Amino acid sequence: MRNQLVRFQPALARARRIWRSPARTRATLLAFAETEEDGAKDLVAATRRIADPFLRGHVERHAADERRHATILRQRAAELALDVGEGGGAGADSRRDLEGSARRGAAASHGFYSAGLYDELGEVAYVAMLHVAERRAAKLFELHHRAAETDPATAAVFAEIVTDEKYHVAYTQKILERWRAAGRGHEVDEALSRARSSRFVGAWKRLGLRSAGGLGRVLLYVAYFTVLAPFGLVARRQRFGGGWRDPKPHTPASQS
Amino acid sequence: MSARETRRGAVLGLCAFQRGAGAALVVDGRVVAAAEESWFSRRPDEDGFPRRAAQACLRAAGVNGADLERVVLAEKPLAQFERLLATQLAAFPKSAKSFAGTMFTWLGDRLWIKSRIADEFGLPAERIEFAPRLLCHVASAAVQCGLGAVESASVLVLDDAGEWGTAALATVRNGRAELLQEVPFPHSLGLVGAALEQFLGRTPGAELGWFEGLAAGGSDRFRDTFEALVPEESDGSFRVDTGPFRFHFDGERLFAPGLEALFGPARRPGEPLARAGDGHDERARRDADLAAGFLNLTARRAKSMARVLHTKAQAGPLLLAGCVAQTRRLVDLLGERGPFADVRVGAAPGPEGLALGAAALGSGSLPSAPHTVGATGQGSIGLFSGDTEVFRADADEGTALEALLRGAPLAWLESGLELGPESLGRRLVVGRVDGAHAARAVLAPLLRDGAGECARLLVPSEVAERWCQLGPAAAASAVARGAPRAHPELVALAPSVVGADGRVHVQTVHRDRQPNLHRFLHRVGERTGAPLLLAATLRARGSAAALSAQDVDEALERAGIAHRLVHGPPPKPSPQVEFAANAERD
Repeated sequence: MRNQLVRFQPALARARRIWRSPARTRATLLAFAETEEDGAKDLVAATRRIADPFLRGHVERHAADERRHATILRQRAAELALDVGEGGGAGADSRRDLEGSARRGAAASHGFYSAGLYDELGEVAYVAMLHVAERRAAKLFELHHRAAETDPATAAVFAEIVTDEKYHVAYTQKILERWRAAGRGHEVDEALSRARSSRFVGAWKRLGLRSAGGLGRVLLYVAYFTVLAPFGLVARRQRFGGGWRDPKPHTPASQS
Repeated sequence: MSARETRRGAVLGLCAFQRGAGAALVVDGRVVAAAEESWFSRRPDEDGFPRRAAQACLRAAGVNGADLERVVLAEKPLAQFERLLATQLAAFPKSAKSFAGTMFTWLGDRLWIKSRIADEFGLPAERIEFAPRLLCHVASAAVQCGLGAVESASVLVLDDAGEWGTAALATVRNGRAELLQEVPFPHSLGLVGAALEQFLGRTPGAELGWFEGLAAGGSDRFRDTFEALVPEESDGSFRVDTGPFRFHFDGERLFAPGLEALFGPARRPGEPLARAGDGHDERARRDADLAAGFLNLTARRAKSMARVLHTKAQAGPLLLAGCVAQTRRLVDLLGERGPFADVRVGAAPGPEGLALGAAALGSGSLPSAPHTVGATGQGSIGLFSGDTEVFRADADEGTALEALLRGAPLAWLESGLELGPESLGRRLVVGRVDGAHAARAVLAPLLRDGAGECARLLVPSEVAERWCQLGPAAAASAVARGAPRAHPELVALAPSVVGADGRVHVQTVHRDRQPNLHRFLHRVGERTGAPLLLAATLRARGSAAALSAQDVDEALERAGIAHRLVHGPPPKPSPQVEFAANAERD
């Protein structure tokens, strides 16, 4: 329990930092909305392939929930944007800024869906993946619900989402248990294990790429101050003058 | 060896790994299709490899990737790499961090683009060519402005940075584009604008057109400061005092503390801007004055450059190209002050048009006039078959007109997608012009959606001069966009769209080019006495183009727009084609 608390507090502190900044708040709300909407699209695609009417009914409701989440998250982001000005140019500006910062500094929500996963994974693995992703999302939104306590309107949005996410966890759990009871326990356990490890593998790969990128940059940084330093010291004297100059003749096959 | 023969005359233009990534296809000297990668990725600032845009263009024409006569990239990669290396070393040691980032990207990806293109399209390397960015802008402007095969024109390019050139004087004669002279990096009006965008808390390089909205209530009190920052040279060109900037060696942080010493503290990234004159503080006025100062500076520099161009080229109309040409009032200011009486700008003067320019250059002689396939092209450049949507219609024109006259905003949708940052007639929100709050009524649904822009006036081209001082050349062109002075009758009727300087953003609607919108405007005129509408581009997730009917449904639902009017027959299905030798990767 203590270990959990130790892990949880930095996450809560990070989340609180998001909700203290109006720009990051709106950016994060929009990023969440986009993820929810993408999730809804994948769920809708899955409902066209699911044969079991019981499961299809739940997934249809799940898709509707995700779409609604996208709407209320966007509404909240727009309310925050409207608070700061109605000028057309300014509106366009804030939208583009938000999109930029949504990629830079915002937290992701589920981050688990990609198009057509049902076809790719198959029925059991798909529901197992949903279960793992929704469990994680429920925890994440609960965290943000707590972190946004100083902004009751935003906290209310998260409270609504958390309630739905708990339902999503519950119905996927129920389906998985039904399959277990029908003698497919081994298949279910394997699918759950793969869903959890795929997250782990994904995280590991991302870490690996970051490490490789980081190492490459460090090497270039070192080269800059060693191999290139003499050239740099000479190049510093160069002045780039203005005025007209003749363009280089254009040779189509040449890259320079 | 493949038994297939090369499709003679099929040239694909590409713009890759930079803002405006996209593709355009010219077949037998005619523009067949053009698409932006952001339409597919739904990222407004898409800067990846334009794979899906290229696929869509090839599908529209039924051309296989491996059968292309050639692919032309709108960039000289080695020249750009050389420029980056030289300018970053010249800033030693301040450029250490940006050097590592830039070289990592270039050494890892961009330098090997020739083999990437060959791999993607299954083409031999000798069929891949490269065209300088500024020349692509020139060719793109000529095609977009519908320059005839025998018509000549002078072209002024005002861009940010590509290879070494940032601005250029050019001509188009007998279907050939030629650069006459250029201004070298780092002397760039576009980069000064991008640095100011960042200074004001925005993503740099998004669209310089937004300065106009901010500048509406601004004054020219920073004129002397801007003159010192970007002085005019004795030969009519300009240079930039790079002291308060970092863009010449850093692609992330574009301005230095010196700029804050000149203009006061910078806005934080993402910090909302307010318009001056709405009871806001001194900083809001400062922001508006900065925007106005920059716009006036670009107008002065462009005017001087146009004079030089006129003496050197003495050819036909003046075409404007490059990211700075996105500012609407530049067209009118240059037209009013001469020396060119006829000044034109295309729908996509910025980086979105680069792929089109590359394809046009690759086809040998510039395509004679815009041409599109599909039933609804009508001379626009873009994508008008296959990958575009079929919208759900839910109102006839009479019902929609009644709703609009009652004051409700109306979504105007036509099949097909147009190249450029603004929709000129296929994804619009339109509303009435009269009343003090008309612009707000049109923009409010878009603002609720988190997006928005300045509202513009739609007017039939044949009566445009009744409402504003549109020059005769602009009034006669297929689509004219600009910010001319409004006549008193318009100021009285539609005060909400006339700026403090008496100018109004206008788009003319031509009977032949946009018959549906033209007819609707006249129906509005029959009822109200003025055939005018206010319009703004409908955006889905920040992009002017929405590929699927579902995206449009969602955008309208979020914006709370209840009425929509749909025109145009469904696009023709595209033939199945093989995109590349390695198409199975999809």
